[in-house]
Amino acid sequence: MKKQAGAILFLILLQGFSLPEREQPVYDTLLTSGHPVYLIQISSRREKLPAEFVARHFNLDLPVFTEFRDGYYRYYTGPFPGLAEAGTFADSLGLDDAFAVVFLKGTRVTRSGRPIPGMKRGTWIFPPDSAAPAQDTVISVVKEEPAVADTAAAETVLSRPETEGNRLRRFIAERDYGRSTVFVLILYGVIIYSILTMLVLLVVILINRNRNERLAKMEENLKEKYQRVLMNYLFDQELPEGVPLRLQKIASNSFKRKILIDQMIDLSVNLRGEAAEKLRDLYIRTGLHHDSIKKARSRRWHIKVKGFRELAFMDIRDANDEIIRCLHSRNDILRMEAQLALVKLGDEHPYEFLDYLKMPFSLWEQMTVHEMLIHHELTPPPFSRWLRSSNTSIVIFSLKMIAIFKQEEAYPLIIELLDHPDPEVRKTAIRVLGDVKYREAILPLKRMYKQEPYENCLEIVKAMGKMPDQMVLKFLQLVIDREDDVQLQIEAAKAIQRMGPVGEETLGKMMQSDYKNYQIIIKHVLDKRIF
Amino acid sequence: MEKWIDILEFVLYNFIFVLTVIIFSAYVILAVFSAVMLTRYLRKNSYVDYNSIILAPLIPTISVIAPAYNESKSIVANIRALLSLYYNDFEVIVVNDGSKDDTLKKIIEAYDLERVNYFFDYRIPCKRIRGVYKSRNRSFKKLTVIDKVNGGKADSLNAGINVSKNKLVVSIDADSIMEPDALLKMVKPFLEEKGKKVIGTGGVLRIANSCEIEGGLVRRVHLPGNFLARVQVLEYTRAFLMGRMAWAKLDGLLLISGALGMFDRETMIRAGGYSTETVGEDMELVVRMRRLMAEEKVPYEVTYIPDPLCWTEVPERMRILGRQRNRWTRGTAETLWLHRKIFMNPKYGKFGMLGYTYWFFFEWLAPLVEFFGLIYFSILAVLGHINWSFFLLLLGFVYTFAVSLSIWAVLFEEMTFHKYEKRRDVFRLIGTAFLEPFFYHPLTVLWAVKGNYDFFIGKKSWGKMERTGFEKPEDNV
Repeated sequence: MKKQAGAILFLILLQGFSLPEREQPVYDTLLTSGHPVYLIQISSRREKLPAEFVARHFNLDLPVFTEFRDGYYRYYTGPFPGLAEAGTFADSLGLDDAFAVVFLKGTRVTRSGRPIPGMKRGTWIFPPDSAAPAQDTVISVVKEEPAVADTAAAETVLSRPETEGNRLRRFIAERDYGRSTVFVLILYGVIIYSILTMLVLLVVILINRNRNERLAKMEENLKEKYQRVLMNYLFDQELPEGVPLRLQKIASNSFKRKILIDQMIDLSVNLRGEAAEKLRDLYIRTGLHHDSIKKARSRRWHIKVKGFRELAFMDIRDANDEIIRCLHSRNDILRMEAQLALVKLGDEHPYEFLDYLKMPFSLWEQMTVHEMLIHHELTPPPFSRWLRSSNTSIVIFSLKMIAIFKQEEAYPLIIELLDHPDPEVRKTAIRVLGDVKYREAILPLKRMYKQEPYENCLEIVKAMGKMPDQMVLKFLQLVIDREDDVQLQIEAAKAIQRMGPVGEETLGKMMQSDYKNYQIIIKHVLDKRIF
Repeated sequence: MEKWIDILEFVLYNFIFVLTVIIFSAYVILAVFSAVMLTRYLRKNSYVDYNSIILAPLIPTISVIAPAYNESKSIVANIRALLSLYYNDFEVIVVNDGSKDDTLKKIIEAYDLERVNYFFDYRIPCKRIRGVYKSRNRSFKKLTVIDKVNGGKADSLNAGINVSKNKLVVSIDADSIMEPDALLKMVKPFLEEKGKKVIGTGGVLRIANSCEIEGGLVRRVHLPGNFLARVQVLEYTRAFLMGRMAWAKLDGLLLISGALGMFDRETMIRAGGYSTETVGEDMELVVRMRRLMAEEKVPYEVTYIPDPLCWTEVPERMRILGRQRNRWTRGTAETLWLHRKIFMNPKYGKFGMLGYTYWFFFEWLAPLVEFFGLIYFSILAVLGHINWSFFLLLLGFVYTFAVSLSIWAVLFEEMTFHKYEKRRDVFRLIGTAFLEPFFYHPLTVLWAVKGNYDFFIGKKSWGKMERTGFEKPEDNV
């Protein structure tokens, strides 16, 4: 209660301090009138100027009002009886900046007198000798000394021509957006940007279309031309010495040379022996290897990759230093391509990268290295060398390669991997031992069965099925008997079935068992239509 | 302090506008990310010879599962297209989900099928299997047909997963048309796995309406004549080429479309397979698999291929499209609600902090905010409190920005896969971008609101999806 009384007293005191010294009805009209008040905005500046200077500068007889809003001081004059009168007066001033505005109780409204939603109220600044507004006004009113008191300085500010930015702001002010100028400017900016983007994109799309169509046509023609020349060169009996020169002439720019190189690479994929050598010779004599080396030394990774590929296909070793450098690249693709290129081009230790590769060697990389070995008929290295690698993906890769290339000398070493701490390595080792039918593995596999995770147990059962043996048969029967998991039972039954007549006979006997699942499982396994 | 109050007042006062700016900024950021990713993808794959994968002995095995319900019109041709996919070691599992028409009969006749003694292991629960069929003809040895009691798409996929024995599973709609090399392209992220386990890969869906289709393959691509279908082309291009590509990079991909997705089968089974309790089973599965991985602290990733891999027919009638969008909204809401634990939960990494949050605010709530914004706007308009100058300015901002974003999407398509060869098609697509905000977008908002309403009242139905079928029915193969 006491607090409320104190607040009221404080308010009364505040009002007491601002009691009018001299009546200024015109301010009351502006700030409290429920009727529209028509004014002219003469200027808006960042600088605070005394109203009298502004009036003097523009030769105005009417009072000048100052409103501060959104970081700008707006100077108005008036009031006028109506919008038409205000407009006429604004025209008579001959100022580009002046325009009519309407206020209601000190807040800017639309020309029809309706409030502008979102319009922020400004702070009205009174000359120090003016009267305060009526008490019921709700808008902010301050009375203070103008910052620019010097007449000359004020003149300078007012004489300064309006900048583009100011004009834009006035353009915005005239449209009564009711939001800060900066905000409105951002919106305008985005709209203009969006429209420009649309136009630019449209042009880009059209240009791109035309360009692509043109290039596709050109590429088609060139391919046809090059193919004809290359085929004649490769398969005609005589060796036309002029071909390199002719190709140099028709492949006169980088685009044409790119097509020619692609064409040669495409051809080289299916060439072997003498024809491949002949093509390589032509590639060098035409000087195309310089293009490939340049690409390999490019700073852009995708161009480098192209260079590596071309050099690998054409067996050019001039950029091997760059390829070796890229074996350590952080870019996965570049690193992989460097590895591949080196497998093809490496002189002494093309597989050395497998010794120190710390990152996982992905299945994709494994496949591409395998494909490279097969396609180029390269001699596979003894993969047992990496069976003790600390990189498990390299161990797994080596296991697979040992099975594919049937590197028998490595089989005993695989047994050691059945104790590898990584379950994935053990799983691959189990599978490989089954694939290569390494009978010495039967006992260790049986022994480890109980300790292995489910996936590995499945692999053990499958591997057993590939090595028909009386001992294995009993083990598989036990799996069917003792395991609850249907997949294990099915795999065990399949393994038994794969053992031929002995297996089928065993399954037949098991079918007679009363246990219902046996019959369904064995029927499933014996049904040859299920693959 | 006053400055902060001013900022707060500004934000509250302009809530809808601020939200719009955030959404647009998110779109721009996603578009930039996508552009970078697309360029990298195209450069990286420009050297790949997919044919070398076909014969590689190390390649993982794949099961393609296609659930079919009353697909009598097109099933024979669609199976034929699936069997012709380029891949060495794969099987096609067609699940007849208790069709009321003669779908099963047509498949049996066309592919010379007979029932086999199949022991069915229900590792993931699904409705009763009536029978498993294989062909007498060895040429169709890759085909397995399951006949089961009707249980919906999710249930059918679960049945297919149970039958599959392969490492990877591809789930597709039986009426979708896959590009012949789709499996080769989708398997690549699994092959490139490095340190992080790849649990799923999604691809770009393209719209097949008005395209020339023969023998289950898209022969010539045309822009749909129907406005609704055409506007969906834009929508799909934006979503797939601009959105998902970026989300894959940001580890925030929550959805792999049910029309085409490749998954690691064991992870799928461990996550419990598709949920039959939601209409958004595709999104729910991805979120559940991701949750499983995050909770088990297994480093993983969900990847995405920007290649157009699958063609699908989209609704051309407003009623059907409305139902589809209603279902999508319910699916999103159900999934997000079910897995609300993930929301802003750092335990789930970027997936929880970024991906889920984005979906929550922008995919689920944004249409609702827009709808309530429209109501608020209408009330203000009636009461005369609208600053029309500012409204028009704001409308201009939203409109021009939205259209320019769509044109960016058209450019992405042009620069990448360039499926629309006719120049006229591109102009029509751009024309559609100008019409979309007025004639299509409000509908999507209404459908989303209706979907949310149905979600809150607990509606579960799928709604009927009518399809015309791509080709004339064929009785022989």
